[in-house]
Amino acid sequence: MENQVKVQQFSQSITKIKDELKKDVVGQQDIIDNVIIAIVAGGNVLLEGVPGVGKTRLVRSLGKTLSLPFSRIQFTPDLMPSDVTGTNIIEKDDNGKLNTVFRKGPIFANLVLADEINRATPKTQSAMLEVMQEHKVTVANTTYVLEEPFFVLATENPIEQDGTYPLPEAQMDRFMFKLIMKFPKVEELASIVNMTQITMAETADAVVDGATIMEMRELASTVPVMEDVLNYAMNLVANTHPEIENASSTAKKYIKYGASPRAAQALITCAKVRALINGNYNVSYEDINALAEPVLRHRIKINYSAINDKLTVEDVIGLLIKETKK
Amino acid sequence: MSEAFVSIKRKFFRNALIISVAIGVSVALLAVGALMLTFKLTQIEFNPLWYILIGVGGAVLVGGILFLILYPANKRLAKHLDERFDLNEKVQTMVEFDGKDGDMIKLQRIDADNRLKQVPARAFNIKRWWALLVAGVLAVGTFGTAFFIPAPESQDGPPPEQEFDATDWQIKSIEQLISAVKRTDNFYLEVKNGIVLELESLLDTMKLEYVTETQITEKVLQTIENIHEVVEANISYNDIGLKMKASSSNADVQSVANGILTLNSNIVVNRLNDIRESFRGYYAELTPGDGENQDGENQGGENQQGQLGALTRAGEENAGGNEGENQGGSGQEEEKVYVDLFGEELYNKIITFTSSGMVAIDILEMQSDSLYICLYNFFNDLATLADEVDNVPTDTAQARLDTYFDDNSSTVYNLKVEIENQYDNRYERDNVVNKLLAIFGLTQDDLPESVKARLQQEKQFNNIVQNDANDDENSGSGGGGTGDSKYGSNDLIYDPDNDEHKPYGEVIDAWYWAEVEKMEEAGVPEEIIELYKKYYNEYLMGGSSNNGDENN
Repeated sequence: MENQVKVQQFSQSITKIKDELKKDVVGQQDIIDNVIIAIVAGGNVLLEGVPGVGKTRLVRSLGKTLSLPFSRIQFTPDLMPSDVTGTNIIEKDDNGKLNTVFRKGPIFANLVLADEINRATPKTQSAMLEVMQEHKVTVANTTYVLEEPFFVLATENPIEQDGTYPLPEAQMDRFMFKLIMKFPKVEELASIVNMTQITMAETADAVVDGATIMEMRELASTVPVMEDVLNYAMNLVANTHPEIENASSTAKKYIKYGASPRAAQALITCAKVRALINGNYNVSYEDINALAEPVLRHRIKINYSAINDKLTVEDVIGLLIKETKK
Repeated sequence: MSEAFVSIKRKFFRNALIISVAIGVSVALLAVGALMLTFKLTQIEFNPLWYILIGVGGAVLVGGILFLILYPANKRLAKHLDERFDLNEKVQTMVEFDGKDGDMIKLQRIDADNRLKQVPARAFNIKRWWALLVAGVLAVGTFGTAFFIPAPESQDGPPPEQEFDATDWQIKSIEQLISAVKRTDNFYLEVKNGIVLELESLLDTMKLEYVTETQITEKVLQTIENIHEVVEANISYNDIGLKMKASSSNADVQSVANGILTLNSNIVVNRLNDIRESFRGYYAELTPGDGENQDGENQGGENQQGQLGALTRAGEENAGGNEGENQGGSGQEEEKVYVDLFGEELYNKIITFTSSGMVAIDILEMQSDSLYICLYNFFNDLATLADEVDNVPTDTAQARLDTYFDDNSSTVYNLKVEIENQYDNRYERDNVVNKLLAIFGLTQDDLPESVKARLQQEKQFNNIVQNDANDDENSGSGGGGTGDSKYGSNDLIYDPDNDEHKPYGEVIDAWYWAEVEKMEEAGVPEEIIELYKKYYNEYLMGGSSNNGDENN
């Protein structure tokens, strides 16, 4: 059966990608898995972590592994939108004639690392919205479609908050995942040091290409989701809203704003990919639960009651999972 | 649907069936056993058919509900399998997408099927089968115990009896009966008061709040018995009659006894009249009166009387004076004289008549009974007169005879009235008793044995007396002390108009009307008077066997 071959290839590709990434990124397996899921699912990832944990390296390695052009945008407060998207410039051609030429910005890549995105101004941040959502760039009434697969991995530094511009909810909602990159363990740290002593460059090889990713995406979309699991995912997202009828007690108590419908889309889309990655041909409750945190943590806002009770957003999501009936 | 899933489903179906049947039957047996045991120990009657219905119904109901719960519907089974074997919703997805196309769906189905096949077959055996066994044993044990355990002996008495609830009609009937008893003239006063007391006591019992049917029936029968006792306490001639009857085979005695026992005043009166007339006849034979034979008879009688008196005086003289041979002689000689004087037949009649009566009276023991006293005196006087016939002049004897019979007519009349009253008491008694039986739905068969015996005795004597009455009617004699009529056309009979004795044929009309008049004055029942008239009309027609020959 053709699909069976594709599934086998899918599994093999995922395995290869992981193996290659392990060469350059020590530990952070969950992050790698979720990033891969996001890429295959066609989403963007917001990566939060302290400096030096390997955020940029991960994206670089990913770009090499996937044989996809990679670009990095370092967001600063003075970064302009055109610095991201590109702009029209006037150039003299060989004949000396002045022509307007669109010079593409760093966004025109398959993999984009938007480093410290919270340092850019809201104006610049909004420039990313269109690109991240629609995979298009519009400059001077001209729309440029970005090549698929297009993946943005944005980073946030949770430490330096001075001079930063928190991402608005609308922009946050466009990230499929928000992943927290933690400080590596001691043994992992040792590995990192040993590895980087040899070379700082990424050593991952290309194992798949963009077309493969697209095929994988298409394959994943065919994974069946039973109605009960679907309803579970929907209920989970609905339970994040305190204002709805029959709102969950957790939401009423700890949540100020709930997740958007994009969260439900993200849950199902990513769950399909995850199921396939794990060798399953159907989405399960486990897949939904495993993806609840990365999908919901940046989409819900906890209130002072939660803070007062010393609950993190992850804790609240855990309560929601318990409260949602299968 | 995958083969593995179908196979598993079949196993679950089998298990559900086994469990449902086992639990259903166990619950049914347990329920029936518990019920049976409870009812047996508490001695409550329960139709066995209900046990069957409860058992079958319970088994079907419990088993059916359990089967519905356990029935392996696809979705429910799939969920169970996913959760039990941690299959990550593979089976549920497979079931949900069963029949749909798609490569991934097919792959998913295959994956689920392969995963199910990896589950060992023993995983689908009934878990905790031992629980079913225990339940079954418990149920069978309970049922068996209840079935075979003997019911304890009842320590309670018989089931409570139905309470008697007197109806308004019953109470009113008793009240009316009491009023009727008070009003009637057919009871002696003592009897009336006694019966009223008994009926009032019965009425009080009926009005009691807690009286059973048995108690009220017993009370009614006791009341009836007491009423009989009250009546009999004021009727004291039963013994007289029985003893008189037993004392002699003499027909006169028998007839009088029967009459007394049966309270047939007519018979008694007739018998007594017969005795009186017999005596008159005897006297007439002894002392022929006026008329054709009067001179002769009188003369003869006078002669006889004179001879008797002469003989007697000669015996006395001989003995101490001029009494005559026979008077101071031996008993046999005296008897010979009487035989010579009266004729052997007449003499025998006198002796028989008087001695029978005396014997009957002598053996009676109830000295205090008024009827007894009357009868005793009556027979005694008759016997005395019989003895004195030859010692007094004819006219004196005649006068004494007339006086005696006049006196005794009253006595007979009083006796007759007394007997009638006592008959009325008994008659009214029976009316009261029959009404009581009717009010309480009882029959003659329910009467106490003592009452039945008394009524039977009365019935027997009624039959005897009725036969005697029929015999008397048929004989047309009007009853004689010795059976058939003793009166012939030459017999002397008292002429009330001329106050003299004349031949029967000459004075029968006068005598007849005198008797009718006296009976009417005495209040003799009309039917008795008619009977009397009928007898004499037949006699006058010459149809009956007048016993002039016998008397002669």
